[in-house]
Parts: sequence; C-alpha cells; structure tokens
Amino acid sequence: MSGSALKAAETDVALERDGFLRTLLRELSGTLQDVVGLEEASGYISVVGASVGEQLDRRYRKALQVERLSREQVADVLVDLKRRIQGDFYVAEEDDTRIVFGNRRCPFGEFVEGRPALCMMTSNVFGFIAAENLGYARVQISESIARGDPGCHVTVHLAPAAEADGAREYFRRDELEIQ
Amino acid sequence: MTVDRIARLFQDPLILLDRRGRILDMNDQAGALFGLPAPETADTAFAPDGLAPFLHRASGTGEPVLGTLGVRIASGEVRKLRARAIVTHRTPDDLRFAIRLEDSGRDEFSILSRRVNELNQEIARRRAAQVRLESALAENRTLFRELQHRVKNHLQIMLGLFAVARREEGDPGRQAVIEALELKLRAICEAQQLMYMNEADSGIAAPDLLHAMVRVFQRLAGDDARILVAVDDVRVPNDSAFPLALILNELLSNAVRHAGRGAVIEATLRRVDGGLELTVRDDGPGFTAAETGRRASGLGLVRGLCRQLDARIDIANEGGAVIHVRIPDRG
Repeated sequence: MSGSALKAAETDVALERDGFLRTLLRELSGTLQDVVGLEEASGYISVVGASVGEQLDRRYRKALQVERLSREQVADVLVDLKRRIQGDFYVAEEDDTRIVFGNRRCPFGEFVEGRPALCMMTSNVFGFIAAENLGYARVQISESIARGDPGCHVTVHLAPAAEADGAREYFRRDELEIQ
Repeated sequence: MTVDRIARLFQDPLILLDRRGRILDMNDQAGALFGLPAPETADTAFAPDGLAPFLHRASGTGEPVLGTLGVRIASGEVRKLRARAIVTHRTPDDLRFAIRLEDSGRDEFSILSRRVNELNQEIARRRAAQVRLESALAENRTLFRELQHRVKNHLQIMLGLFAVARREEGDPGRQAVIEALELKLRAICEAQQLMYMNEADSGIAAPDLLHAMVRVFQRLAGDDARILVAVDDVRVPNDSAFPLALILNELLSNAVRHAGRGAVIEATLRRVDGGLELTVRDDGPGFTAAETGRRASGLGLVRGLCRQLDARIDIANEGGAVIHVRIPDRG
C-alpha cells in the first residue's frame, strides 16, 4: 500500500508508555489465565503482589519514619498508594476488627476487565502491608471491577475468623532460623 | 502431624519442615527423589537453593506460595524444581511448613512446553532442510537448462555437418541416405528444442511437437503434398517424446515419399483410453500386400521404437496408407 505522505510520528495512534505497559500486563495476565487457569495465575500474581507489597511497605514506613504503621496509618497508606497509581479507593468503614474499602476506579483502567487474577495484586499488597504492621490480615474482595462489578469492595479483617470464610489470610512474616 | 497418610494422596514429593528448615517428615516420592529412605532424613537439614526466602514468603500468608528450589536429587545433580509451600502449623512459638515439589519430568505444563520446544526444533530443522533443497533445486534447474542448451547446440552442429556432407556428396544414393539421417536428427532436434523451451519437467506439449514436425516435412514436400494436423491438447512424457518424434518422422517421411504428387497427408494424435493414438494417413496408392506383412513393410525402425514404448502398430489400406500407433499410458 502506498500513497500516504504521512509520517508515523504524525499520526494519532493512541500509544504511550502507560497504556502500553497496561496492555502488556493485560496480555500477560490473560495468557497466564488461559494457559494455567485462573487459580494458578492468581498464585503467580500473588507472588508478585507480595513482593510489591513488601517494597511499598518499606518505603512508606521509611517515609513516615515509623517502625510499624498503626491501623489508621495502614488505612491511609493503602488509600494513598492506590491514589498514586490512579485508583480511587476510599475507606468506607473502619474499626479495630476491620477496614473496609470501596473503589470507583481501578488503577489498571479498562484493561482489568476479565482479568480477576490481577485482583491478587490488591489482595497481596493490602494483606502484606496490614499483616506486617498489625500482625494479621484477612482480605476479602467481595466485588471487583475485574469481575464486572461497577466498583470494588475490599474488606481487610484484622482478626482471625472463627471459621474459614474463603478470604486470603496474611501474617507478619516470621524471622526464620534457617542456617 | 505426620505426612504419612495425607501424603499418600499425592504423587509429588512432599516434605514437612520446621522453622529451622529441618525435615520433620517426607513421603516416599520425596525419599525417592533424594535417594534416601524417608526415615533416614528425619531431623536433617533440607538445604535447597532458595529455601530461606521461599519459606519467609510462605510464613506471611495462609495460602500456598509458589516458587522454585534448587534441589540436589539422587543422582547428585542439582535440579530446579517448582515448589509450593504452605504453613501447616502456626503458633507464637512454632511454625511448620509443607512443601510440595513438582517434578518437571511429570508436570503436564512442562511436558507440553518440552513437546512444543521439540516441535519448534523439528520445524527449524525442516525449514533449514527446505532452504537447502530449494537452493539445490534452483541450482539443478540452472544446470539442467545449461545441459539442454548444450545438447541443442550440439545437435544443431551435427545437423550442419550432415547438411555439408550431403551437399559435398556427389552420389545421389549416398545423398539420400544422408538426408534420411538428417531428417531423423531433425526430429530429435525438434523434441529437444521443445523440452528446452518449455522447461518441461513433466513432458512436452503434443501440439507443439506435431506442428513442428509437420512444418519440416511440409517444407520438404513443397507443393507436392499438403499435410494436415489434428492433435489433442495433451502432454507427451519426456521419455516418450524422442521415440514418438522418430516414429512421426518415419511415417511422414514414408507418406511424403510414396503418396505421390498432390497427396493429402493427415497426421493426428488423440488421447484414447488414457493412452495416445498416432495416426498418419495419406490418399496415395497404399501398401502392397507384401508391405503390410509383419517383416516386410519397410517400417523396421518404427516397429523397434514401438516396442520401446510398449505401443501397438496397425497398418491398413483405407483409401491410401493408414498407420495407427497406440501408445499406452505407462504412468
């Protein structure tokens, strides 16, 4: 095909780094879900989420100059970190036993649709930071944009349940004594 | 908690560890993987590469954690295995883990990946072979054309030599012999020329061959005869082309020589029952009774060429001489 005098740089192709990276993430997670299944894909993304959670926890504690975050700081940090990556999380309820978050916009944008495995990023980052600072967390995502809900509803329980409720549990990591 | 009963549910190696990374128990599959009977490993350190950070991560969640461990197996080789770990016992003073190793030799995903890799390698090998074959084919085509070109040139040289010899020969009888040889060589030349021009791997076009041959004889006969051609659009296999050209040469030569002035000669080639039928007919005096005999028709060369083609020859008088040559399909 020939005839157009346009240069590629002059076209209005919708491509920039953030969109490209989100597309990349969507395709990677989609491939993972297709190849190994949702549960297994969630497992892989959990590994990444825990690692990211560890890094963010370290940064916020250093920035806030505290050894451990309080419950209020945990809620504040989790809302803030989502805000910084263009999510729109807010604290809907909070007490000694739980922090309930609502969310109106996913940081992954429209790229998250049909990729529930990516919710493991939120579960692990929230769970890791809450557990490392408060000793225990159980994260329940009852609604999510990835699954087609209009928003997300995320509950971080701060005390163990009497009975298993299907939520993912997180604990402060143990200082092991492996030689 | 011991692993013995629960572990029987698993085909994969399963190990129980305490917080120091010491083995509490393992199933038989793990024992086989490490080359040690399970009881002998109790309270020994399990020290694969990557264990500490792996268990550290596992300690932070109630869910299984994925990872890889560099495990020394029975053969002494260190193999990187996929692993899942989960905390099985958690108290303020104690922490225990279960680790399930996935033997990549049996893991379906790994098997699939290996098969895909093998197929990719096979495809790569075949592509390389295809490139070599295409290159060799192109080279062979060039050599084949070169050879055809040289053969054609040599035949032309021989035709020239025959023509010179005929012109220099004073004896009419010898001149006739040379001319007959010239015609035979020209028939071969025509077939060769068609092969060269058509790059015909699968044979030459019968209409081209018949028309080329008839042109030669029409030139020789001049106004003494009119030669008509009717030919189906069929291809003549390369190995049949030269004998057919020589047969046609003999039959046309006979017709032009014996049919007399003003003769009409018809040369037809038809596809019949999968084979070919060549007919040369003239309106001359026809064969005498003696000439239609098996040995006495003066068509010795034609009969020999027919044998070469498994062809049948029929000679008849039907308002002139008629010769049918039926060539079976030998494909």
